[in-house]
Amino acid sequence: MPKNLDQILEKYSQGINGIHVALVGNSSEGTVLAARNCLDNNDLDVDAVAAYASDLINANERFCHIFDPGTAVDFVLGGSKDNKLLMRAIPDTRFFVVFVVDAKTTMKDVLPQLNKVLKESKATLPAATSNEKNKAQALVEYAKRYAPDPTFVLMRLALKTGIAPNRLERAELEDSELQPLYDSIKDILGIERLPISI
Amino acid sequence: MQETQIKELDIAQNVIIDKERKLMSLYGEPVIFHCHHYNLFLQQTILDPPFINGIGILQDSSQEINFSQLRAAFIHHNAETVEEKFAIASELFKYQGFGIISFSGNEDGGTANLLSSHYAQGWTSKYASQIQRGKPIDHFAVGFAAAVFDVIYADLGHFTAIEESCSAVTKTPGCIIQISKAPVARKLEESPGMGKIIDAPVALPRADTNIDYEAVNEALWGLPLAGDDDGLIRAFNVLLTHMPSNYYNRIQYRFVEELRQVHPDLCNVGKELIRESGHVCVFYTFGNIMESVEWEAVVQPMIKNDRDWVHGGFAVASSLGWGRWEALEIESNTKARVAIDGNYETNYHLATYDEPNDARCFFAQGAIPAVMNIVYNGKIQEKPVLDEAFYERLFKQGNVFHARELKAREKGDPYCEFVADRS
Repeated sequence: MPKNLDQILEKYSQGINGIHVALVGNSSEGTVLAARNCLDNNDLDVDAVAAYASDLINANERFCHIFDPGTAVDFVLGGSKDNKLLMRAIPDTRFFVVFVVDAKTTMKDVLPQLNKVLKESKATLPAATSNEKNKAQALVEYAKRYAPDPTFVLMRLALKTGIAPNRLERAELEDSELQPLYDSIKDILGIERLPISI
Repeated sequence: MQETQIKELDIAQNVIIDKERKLMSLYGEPVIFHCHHYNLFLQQTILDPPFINGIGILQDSSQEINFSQLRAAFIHHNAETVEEKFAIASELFKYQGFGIISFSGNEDGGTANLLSSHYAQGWTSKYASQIQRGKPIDHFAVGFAAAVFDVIYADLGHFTAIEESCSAVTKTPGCIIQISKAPVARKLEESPGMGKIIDAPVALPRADTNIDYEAVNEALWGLPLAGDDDGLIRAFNVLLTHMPSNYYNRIQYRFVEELRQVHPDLCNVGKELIRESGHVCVFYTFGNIMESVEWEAVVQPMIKNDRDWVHGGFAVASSLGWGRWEALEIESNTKARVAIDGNYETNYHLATYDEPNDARCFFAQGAIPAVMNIVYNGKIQEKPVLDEAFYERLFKQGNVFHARELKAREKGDPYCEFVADRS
């Protein structure tokens, strides 16, 4: 019986061809708890996979609440012509499981594996803590994920808000600075609102 | 001047190349090539701070610089009627790669129809798949349109213009600019023209390279880089403009000056973003040039080692109207020492400002390390796909080259000298 997340992911990503990545992430922070990169590709950005998967999980949660408030967030499918992205939120937690698989891999082979990860990982998840990221950090990280030229987005936000880049990087902002930050990110992305409430 | 002559107007014949100083001019204004990556990033940087009037900087500077060039063009071509002057302005706009524009109106104002736009097209191709745009983008064209009416009907600063409809926002073809007479004429400042150019090239120590800089210059100067039927210069997988360089100078120095006055603590951030506009420009444009058939035909046969790739890059730099760029010394994968003798930034700065305390060639400070980054970090020799993901990976990998301007002509040195390394 696997003892920790790494062992769980290793066990259930083996034996089926076409599994590229299996990971457990935190949807409130957009981070990786544990991941198994089955591809021989060091350039694969597993952190980015977790970050974008978090956004999809969060967006799906909001979507579910529009039609059926109170329902648990369930299966999400995404991907491209060549790769499929399968995700499930772990009920009553801020965590989720992602499998990235080759598009030729059949769902009936992969889903049972994903469900086993979902079931067995629950006991190993960290307890909820109060050190979830603050709103400024969530906003800054959102901007880094979605703004063009992400390497320079902090500098752009500094010019837009008048807040020094190192303070933005540390995300130690006054409450009064959140609205200008929020508005600046909206302006950069050209959208009316962000999926992060302040 | 007859209508048939206007149609046959060959703007290219009026481009003067100063081969010694490696500068170009058109109707008395220094002109240089830059790509849409540079144009968009620089404009975006100037528009970002809400506490300065970025739109004013862009539009007024365009009006000022274009006023000088248009007036000289009308005189050169003996234009007499309004129609002739409108036609020359449209041809000049098209030739320089800004798009297709037509004018109508009278001494009270009028309309400019921007059927095709470098900035709108460039923004759409670079950003539209990622973000939305809610604000007009053609600030250069707005200033150009106001300048046309200034020259024809009044004097500099008598007209203002506004973009009423922009294709980057509406996602439908065509932009509309309305020009009207200003209630009170604004005090605007004409272009300093060629600025303070060098008397003669400085004798620089010749680097150990197989690259014949002059041969690269001649090959690039011979390319027919002019606006196509859409008024766009599509070359090397980017959209180029043949821009009056004083527009860039004026907007970047005014921006830094306003930032210094209003938010001095963010001045270095502003400068760093201007440097990045130079970096991203060289990365994409030079990268694509280094992957082009023209490079294969002209430069590749001279290349014997990795340092020659870098020299080839600086030979290209000195072919674009930017002044005389030469790498003095290159340590493979480690360091480059580069001289610029009479670049467009210093020519303007010396003609416009007193001697500064700090070095001011912001574009060059970003462009020089970009050549090192594309050769040694981007491994351009392996012909990578030059897309945004590749560019971001370059920074994520870290250990990128940066440059310092150690000698500065704008501060009294005979020429500018830069060191690019990984420090």
